[in-house]
Amino acid sequence: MNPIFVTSVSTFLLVAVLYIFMPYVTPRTVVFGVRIPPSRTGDPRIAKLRRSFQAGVAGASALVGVMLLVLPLIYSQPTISLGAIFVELAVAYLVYYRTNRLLERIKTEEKWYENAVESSGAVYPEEKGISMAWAYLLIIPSVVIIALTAYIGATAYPGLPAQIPTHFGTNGQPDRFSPKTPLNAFLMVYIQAGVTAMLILVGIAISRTRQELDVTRPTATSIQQEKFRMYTMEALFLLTAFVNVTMLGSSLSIWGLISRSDLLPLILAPTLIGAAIMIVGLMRIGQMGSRIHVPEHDEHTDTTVVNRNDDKYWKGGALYYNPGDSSVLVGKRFGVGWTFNFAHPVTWIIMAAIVLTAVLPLLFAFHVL
Amino acid sequence: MIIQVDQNSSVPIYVQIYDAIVSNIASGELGDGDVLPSARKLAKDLGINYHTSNKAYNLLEIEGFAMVRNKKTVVTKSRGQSDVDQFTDRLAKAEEELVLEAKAKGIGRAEIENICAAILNRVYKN
Repeated sequence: MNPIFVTSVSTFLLVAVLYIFMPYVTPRTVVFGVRIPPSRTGDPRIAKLRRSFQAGVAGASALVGVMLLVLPLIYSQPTISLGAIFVELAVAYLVYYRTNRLLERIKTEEKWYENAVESSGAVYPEEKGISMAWAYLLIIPSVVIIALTAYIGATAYPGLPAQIPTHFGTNGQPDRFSPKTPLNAFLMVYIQAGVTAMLILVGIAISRTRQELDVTRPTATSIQQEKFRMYTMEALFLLTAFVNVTMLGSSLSIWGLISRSDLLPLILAPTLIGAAIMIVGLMRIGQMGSRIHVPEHDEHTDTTVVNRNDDKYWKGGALYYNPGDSSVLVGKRFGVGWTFNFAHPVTWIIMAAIVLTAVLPLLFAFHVL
Repeated sequence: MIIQVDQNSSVPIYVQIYDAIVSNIASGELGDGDVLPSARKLAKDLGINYHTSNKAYNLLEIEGFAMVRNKKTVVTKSRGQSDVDQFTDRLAKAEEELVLEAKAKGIGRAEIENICAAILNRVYKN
């Protein structure tokens, strides 16, 4: 089996399943990216829209699935199957966007927000402290694995041949060799350290994300979101450990301690298992912890007070653009986790940094720099 | 403490934040020396501009309800007798203006007394 093909098929299935289950994962007052008042969550047309959305995604995915199976027979280029994933993502988004527009129209025509007091709220002090500190303990496995990799490498280094493999073909055989230098031999260790440092920064950013409370249940949602932040950080740090194990495996094959062709699936397995655990876990607790069971202790007397109708800041139902909001990271509208406020200058600095880190190595590789 | 603001209200948001914190001090939810969330954090959580929450905090400081200590904004309840005396003067003036307006609109003494009693019973219930 061609690894690119296997990756494409599993990604393809993952995208389809995530899209089909996503309507159950978002908070009850954000339906297909549309903010609705709590009194409307039971509207029968929402269930109908959900069914047609799921049918649309399933149908589109089936078509792309056929493409995925047939294209490799026509074109010998295995990367063509990656193209099918982009088609699937585009079509799934269009189905989502259509559903978003349909619900938005119902909401606008029937004036769901007439006479509503559009509010936002926050609860203090935040429940922080010991639980967040525990999440950081999960960095330890990664540090141990990196140290172990470096130790094995240091032991093996004197016995390495003058030329070591630095690139492997899709068949798992080395196809590019480089002279043995500390930079080449320990490349994976540097990447391990870099990836781990970056994910720790992401974890810190997550711990500082803002409250996005349902003003009709402020206390309950603040507890859910605090748990959601902690679980996301834990999942992220655990995934980091799994990724580090994969890079340990790659290092072993670079140093010739294991033969890559036999063990390729085994090397990739830890990362895939880690990612699978993370995805299933996050889907189960719901976006912003909306599916975590917490005691309801909010007395909500004034039913006109609801969350702000903020649809206008979500361009295309997916991109957040609100110059009046000082937050950089905001909860995704239709998904699990966070996205950027594209009206915030810090967002653009981060985007530029990401693009630079992606482009600079390419410029070096092509000897432009 | 729950801070909630109405985004479409004619009352400016910084005034709403100010009122919410003062009302929490009145109810005893916030005590002397309690640390308030930073203005930056509050702005993020409410999805508003930093300058708005900062304005509310400046107003709290001016009115003597908060002060900055070790880079943190903390609640200050008692600021001495002269502060209290000054405020009682302001309260009397403001009340007089409102009562005059009420009388000009033909509202009777008994009704104003009822309104005041209801407010006092709610605020001073403990």
